[in-house]
Amino acid sequence: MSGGLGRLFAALTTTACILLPSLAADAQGVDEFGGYGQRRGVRTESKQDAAFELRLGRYLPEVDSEVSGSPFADTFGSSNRYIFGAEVDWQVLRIPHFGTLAPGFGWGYTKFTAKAPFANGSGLSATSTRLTIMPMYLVGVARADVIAKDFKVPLVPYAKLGIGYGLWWSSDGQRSATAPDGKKGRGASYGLTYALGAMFLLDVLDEDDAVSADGIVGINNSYIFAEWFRPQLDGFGSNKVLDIGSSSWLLGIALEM
Amino acid sequence: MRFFRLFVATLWLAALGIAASPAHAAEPTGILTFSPPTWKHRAADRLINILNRKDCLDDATASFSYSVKGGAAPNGTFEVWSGAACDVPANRSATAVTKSCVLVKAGSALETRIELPFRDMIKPYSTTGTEPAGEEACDSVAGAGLQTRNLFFVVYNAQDQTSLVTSAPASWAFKYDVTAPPPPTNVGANPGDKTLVTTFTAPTGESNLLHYHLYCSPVGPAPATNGGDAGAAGADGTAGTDTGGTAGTAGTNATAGTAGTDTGGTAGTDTGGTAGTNTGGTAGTDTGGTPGAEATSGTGGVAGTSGTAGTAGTAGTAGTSAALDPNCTSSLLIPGEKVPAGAIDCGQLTVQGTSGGETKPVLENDNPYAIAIATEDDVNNVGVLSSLACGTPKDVTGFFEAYNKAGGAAGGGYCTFAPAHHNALAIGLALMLGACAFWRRRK
Repeated sequence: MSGGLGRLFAALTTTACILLPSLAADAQGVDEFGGYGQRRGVRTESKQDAAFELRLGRYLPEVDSEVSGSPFADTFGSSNRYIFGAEVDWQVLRIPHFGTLAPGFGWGYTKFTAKAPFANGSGLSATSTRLTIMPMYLVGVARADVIAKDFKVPLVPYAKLGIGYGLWWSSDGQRSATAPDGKKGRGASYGLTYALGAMFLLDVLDEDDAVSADGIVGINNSYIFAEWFRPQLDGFGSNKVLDIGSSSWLLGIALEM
Repeated sequence: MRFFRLFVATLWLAALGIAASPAHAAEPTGILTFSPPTWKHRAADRLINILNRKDCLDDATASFSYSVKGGAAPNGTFEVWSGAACDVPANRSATAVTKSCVLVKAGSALETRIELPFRDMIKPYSTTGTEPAGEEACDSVAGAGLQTRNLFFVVYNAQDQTSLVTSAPASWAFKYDVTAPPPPTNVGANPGDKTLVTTFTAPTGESNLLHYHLYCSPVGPAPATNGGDAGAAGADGTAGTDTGGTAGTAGTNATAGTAGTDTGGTAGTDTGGTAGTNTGGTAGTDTGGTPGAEATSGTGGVAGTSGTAGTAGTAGTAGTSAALDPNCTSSLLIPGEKVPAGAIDCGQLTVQGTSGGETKPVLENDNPYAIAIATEDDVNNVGVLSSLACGTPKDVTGFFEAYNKAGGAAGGGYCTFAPAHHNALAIGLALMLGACAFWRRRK
């Protein structure tokens, strides 16, 4: 072994021992000539179990669809409002040459605020009226990363389907809202939730960083994604459920670990 | 033998020298210990070392137990000082250039307890003239915000100021703020549903504010003694001193006129006459000289200018207020005064980043109310009321009420169950079960 190769080997070994314990554990077949026991050209990766998403997008609840008139639009207007949220998927099943299947749980939060109009129609008061929505869902997620892995095109289409459950509450000023009959202005809505989207694999922008991220913290892949999100929280058509469903586009970042 | 006597004399002189060595070369041999105080005239639930204006006005008094032991300490001068580094004799000196300590109380090192009025603990380091007493002492404390001082228990030799004790602990630290924070300014009020929504400008220069307290009262005539309408009369100006004018310079005497010259007339020539007629000559005319002018008297001195009149007293500052809006007055809430009993507690706002906020929904719609704001700092000093703002709460239609009026039937609570339409819930559940079955078959 030449002196230069020996130093390189020593440096790699030291680095691996200090910084990349998980990588070293998975790459047990690494010697001074490189990895073995792996298919040539396949990057050694840590085990992938889960996906995390941070999400931000437009959200306009469909409250007005179930009542006469347009109380939501009249109160809050029809301009774009936004929701932020997060999702975690447990990628329990990997199907070769397809991708992953995972149950996932998502949570989001959005709030609508406006000045409440005077009851006599003489304009807007200084009192704020609010509607807060916290949609949650339990979905099955199929991510087809075969395109990225087998065809080296850094796109991962995916689909989600499941049930959603959303909490909502309304307030006027510092009070919880109540109807004239005393009914409290809060409740829960439920329904189907589904989504379609595509993720762009960021690893292709800097392979070295991607390898480091995997070795250091176990991040297998990182993505940005766009998604059409459809929480259909209308109580399956019930007229006693506030329809806080929406149909809109979301953007976000995702990590697979 | 002579050598022996010399040796003894040397020892004797040495002993005398040791005895005569200066005392200040020795370290303090005494120990002073004291315990944290108990307070009189003060609520028991308050922190023992953070004091406020109410404590000062109530004449709160700290009672310290202490003990002085060892060496000459019990016979030394025992004093308690307030300030910074007061255990250093130079800082307690009356001639210290920068005063950082003030004597709180002198006592006896033989006693075991001393009572220290809070007012004396926060006396100014330097005073000119008579020190304020009573509640005025609470108004004479300079500085805004929370301030820190330490109490030092010292025992020293009165002759050479050397310390006779080591104190344990070295001092007792306390914080205080006896200045109530000012109220916000530019207070405004807008109507809400059973509320008023305030806007205001936060006071500046205060670093330890905690809350804004909102106080409401129905609009009504201001009390006759409402100081808000007129400011206090200004103090009279100092009378002017009539120094009189400076005397005028004496006039210079005019030069005396030159005396006229009596040239006289030319004497007629007596030519004689023909016999018989002596016509005589024409008498010469005595024209005389022009009389000299009288000397002009000197000009008298100009009278002195009278003294400038004293400057008129500055007019009193106008009262905050009601005078600005005669329609916004209250019989209870008086700007610049303390919070009155009977005012409606309309809630409080946190200070952080606040420039307004809504009252609690405790007002009646369609009745006009005045609102004033008082500021509380973090040691619970509550300042005086701000200027008034008025508004009339009115009924509003919030989102949920509008939704109900539009026929919406949702709501009632998180646990209210609304059955699905067209058995869709069952379809959803079946979908879930199907997914689970698929999952199990895959495994």
